[in-house]
Amino acid sequence: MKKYVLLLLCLFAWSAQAKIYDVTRYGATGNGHTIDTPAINQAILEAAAQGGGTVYFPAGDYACYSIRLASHVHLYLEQGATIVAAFPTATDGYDEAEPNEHDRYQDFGHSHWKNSLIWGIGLEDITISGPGIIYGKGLTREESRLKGVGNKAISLKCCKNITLKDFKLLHCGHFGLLATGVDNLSLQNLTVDTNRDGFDIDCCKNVRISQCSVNSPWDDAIVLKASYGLGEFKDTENVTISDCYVSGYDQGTLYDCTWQRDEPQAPDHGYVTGRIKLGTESSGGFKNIAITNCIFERCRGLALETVDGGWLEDIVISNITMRDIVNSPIFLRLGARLRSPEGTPVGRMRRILISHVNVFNADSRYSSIISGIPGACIEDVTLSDIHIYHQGGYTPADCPAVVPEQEKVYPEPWMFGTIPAKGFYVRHARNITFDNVHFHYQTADERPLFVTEDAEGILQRNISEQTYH
Amino acid sequence: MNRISIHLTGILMLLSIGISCAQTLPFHLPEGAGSFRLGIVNGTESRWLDECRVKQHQQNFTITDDLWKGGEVRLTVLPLSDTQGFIVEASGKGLPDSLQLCWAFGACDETIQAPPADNVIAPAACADNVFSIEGNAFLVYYGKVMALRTVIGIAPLSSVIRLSDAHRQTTPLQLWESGKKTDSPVISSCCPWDTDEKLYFCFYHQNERADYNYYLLPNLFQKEAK
Repeated sequence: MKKYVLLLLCLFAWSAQAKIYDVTRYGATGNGHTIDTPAINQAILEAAAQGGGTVYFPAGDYACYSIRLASHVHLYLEQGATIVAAFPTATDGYDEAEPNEHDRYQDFGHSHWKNSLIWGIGLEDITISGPGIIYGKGLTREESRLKGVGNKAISLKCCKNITLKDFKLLHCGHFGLLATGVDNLSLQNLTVDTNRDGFDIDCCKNVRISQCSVNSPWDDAIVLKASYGLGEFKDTENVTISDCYVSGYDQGTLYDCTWQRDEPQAPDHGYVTGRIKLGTESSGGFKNIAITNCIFERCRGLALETVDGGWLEDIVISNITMRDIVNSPIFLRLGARLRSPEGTPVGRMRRILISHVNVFNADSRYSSIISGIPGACIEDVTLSDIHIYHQGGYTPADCPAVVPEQEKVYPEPWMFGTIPAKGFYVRHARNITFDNVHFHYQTADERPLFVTEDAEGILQRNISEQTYH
Repeated sequence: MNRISIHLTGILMLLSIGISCAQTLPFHLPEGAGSFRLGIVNGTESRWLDECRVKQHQQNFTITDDLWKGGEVRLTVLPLSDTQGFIVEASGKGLPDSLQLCWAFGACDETIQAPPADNVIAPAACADNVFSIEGNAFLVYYGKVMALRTVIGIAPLSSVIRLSDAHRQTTPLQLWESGKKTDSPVISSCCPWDTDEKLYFCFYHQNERADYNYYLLPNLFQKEAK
């Protein structure tokens, strides 16, 4: 009897082993210069043909162009394994960007998926995991349209049941991850240190982002979007972002743990970025979003933006600590850029709770801003249990006599010039509650604490200001 | 005459200036879009080409110096016809095997309209230049918030590019080793040079017709030379 049990166990073990597809068995060299993509894609195809399995990357550097994902396949990156994005050549490169008749409503990067290091369209049940690295060395963050150029590390369109966990993403071009129209997406314990956006979660439903560290000094770290890239108005909804760290240290210095601060400027000249943001692409809306237990460091502040017609509502943000914030700690903007099909009306922004926030060493020029536009107010926002430690140092004379509306302008705090309030500037807003909110200034600031225009139902309880050293 | 033609004319005028001021190599982009500087490293010594003996014949420059013992560095500098910018072909004759090319780019400041009188990358024009380095190519963001400008550079494939300090460019090696702690960032690079091989540099504003990669530069050079 024991013999039979042993035999059965051996057969089971052999059967389980057969589901592992080691890329080196398909010809991948891992030598860092031979292009290993054909071997890797063959391993993926074979795994998929067998009903699924794990495509295994042992330690090595795998120089690659486009890796094409398949349903029911798990890519596992072993410790010491790095997928390295190769530079395109005259004869070889990444898959061509597929046509998209709706590409005028969002940037090139958001409108195409195949021109990526790793991509999947219309797939299900995929995992990428393991302690290895995805290094986008040969990807671009810029705007070249040459054939063979790749601009994203991982790109997913219209997929479901996706898990990404444990690996590192370095220098990833336009996006570390672009997920568009993905349902049931889980990002866990990812470390990202990149030269543009970290995660762009676009038109996705039911998303868990947890325990991730994202350093992206030159663009947003974790950003929810609702573009028109799929050719329809689609919300990003039911999303949690929890236990995450975002920052704008010099690129590569989160990963190597040197935490350098020698490069203060971002390409847009608004100082380092690296924040959590909702927007800018917002043809669809943002609904049912919870952000909690997150840390911002040396970066821009929290930004909630809907400017392309989407409805941003039912947002809860709590337990946030920020240090060394280079612009508005809190920036809420309902605008009318309307980069959407013609006739799209202005969106709405309402039902937002922001609580238990501590901000230390925030730039004071733009203070914090809650601004709708004439005829479209931000509604029902509560800010409670908040301390903001500003640098201070401004006077009313520094501010424009009239703050421009800038209804159609790309939303950033700088579009209004120096803000006339040293605490919050609130305009075109209804039912905004400030409860137990305290402001601290390192240098005296002669501007009033609050300036409101076209604002009704502004409730203030237990507000204070003081200096600090 | 349109704006591009005016700038091309300006570059060609610079190129046609004779030996008398030939040491000002025509390495400045119009409208303050940046300055290029090229040097040679031999062992622990290095020298900027604009500080050597330079002979010019139209768009061709022959450069000699004791640092490379009787050999010649030859440069041809051509303006681009599809955009503002220029392409450089570098070749050598009779040069030692161990030479490296060292180069730098920076000082993108649109408020500077007239090209500088020398080849130094002006530190005062470097503030807030942001360099996006991608292998052997880079893109510089400069200008002001909401009115940004960009310029692209492509260098030989073996270039290792890093941020450097424009205040420290007495020699190419000093700049290469200067580090990035500065208020005047530039980029510099050292790359090995097989002097039997022609190398190319290209600096330009991207548009629909001007979108390049290094592998396109030899043909681009031939096109512009016709």
